Amino acid sequence: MEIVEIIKVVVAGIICWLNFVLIDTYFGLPEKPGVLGAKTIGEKIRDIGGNIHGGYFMGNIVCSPDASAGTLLASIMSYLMGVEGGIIAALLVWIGNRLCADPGYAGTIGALTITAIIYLLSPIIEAKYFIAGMVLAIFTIQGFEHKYASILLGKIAKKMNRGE
Amino acid sequence: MEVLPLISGICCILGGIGVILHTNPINKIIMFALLEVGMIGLIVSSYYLDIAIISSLCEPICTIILLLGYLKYITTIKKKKKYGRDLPVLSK
Amino acid sequence: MDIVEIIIGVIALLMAIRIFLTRSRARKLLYLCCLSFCISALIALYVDSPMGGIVAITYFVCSTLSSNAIAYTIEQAKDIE
Repeated sequence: MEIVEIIKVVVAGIICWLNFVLIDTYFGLPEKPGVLGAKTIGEKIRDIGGNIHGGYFMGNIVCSPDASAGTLLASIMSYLMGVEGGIIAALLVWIGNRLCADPGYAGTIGALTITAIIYLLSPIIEAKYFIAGMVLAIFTIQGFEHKYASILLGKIAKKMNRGE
Repeated sequence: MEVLPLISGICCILGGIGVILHTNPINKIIMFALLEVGMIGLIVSSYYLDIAIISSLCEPICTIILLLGYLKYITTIKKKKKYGRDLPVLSK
Repeated sequence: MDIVEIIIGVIALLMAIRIFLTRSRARKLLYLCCLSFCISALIALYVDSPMGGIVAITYFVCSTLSSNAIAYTIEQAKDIE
């Protein structure tokens, strides 16, 4: 019984990881620091031996609510309210993006896509497992090992022609 | 035993010790942010949701005021070395 | 206790200890961001009503604003010195 739940959490984590990394890379987070604070985080990541484009990606996640925040908040609201909750979360994430002086497309589109994915997968994986999966996904990028995570993000950015 | 009060209490204790032990002002402010995280978690775990919304709205304002004070402080220290013995502002 | 809450709680505990022990200022901000993800998820799982979702969203957006201000100040202080 416990094994089935752990497998569900891991599968939801992989889906969330692919969702927010692909959307954030498509909207050009690794290209340049959007705000001034992201620049100093990127240079710090480069100083410890990582890739600077991965560093800009991490700094942009810290300094404004992007597709990662959209994914987490939309899965929270889908767990609590159903499909309408995801749309409310998208609106609130857009307001938060505008507060941090960002265009705000990445957060809104990330929230809407994860709402659609949860609605399609709801008979198999409930929305509760997506919350834990998103926390697991952000842990592998921001909390586990910064050097290798930034090198991996830099490779993905180079493959999608964003950065370099 | 619930998870949220436990984690919030640990964050409060670690933040309080860190504010005392660290010496750099920016490190002190980051530890203060950790203390605020734990405080909001403890408020939510007693179901005072309206107070939790108000205190999480006020948290960045407090942090910004502290940071403005820090920037003013280091600017003043840098400028004081440039002037000579007779300050034009103070000697009037 | 749920297996979901236990996973998020272990990650939050690890992040709190790593914030305390890391020496670099910019990397503390990365760990703090991960911790606020965890606390936001725990609030929503604990309260379990739509008001809890509103609290989680407000808390997360405001903590992001605070991190933005701290990172900006680190850059400015580096310029002045």
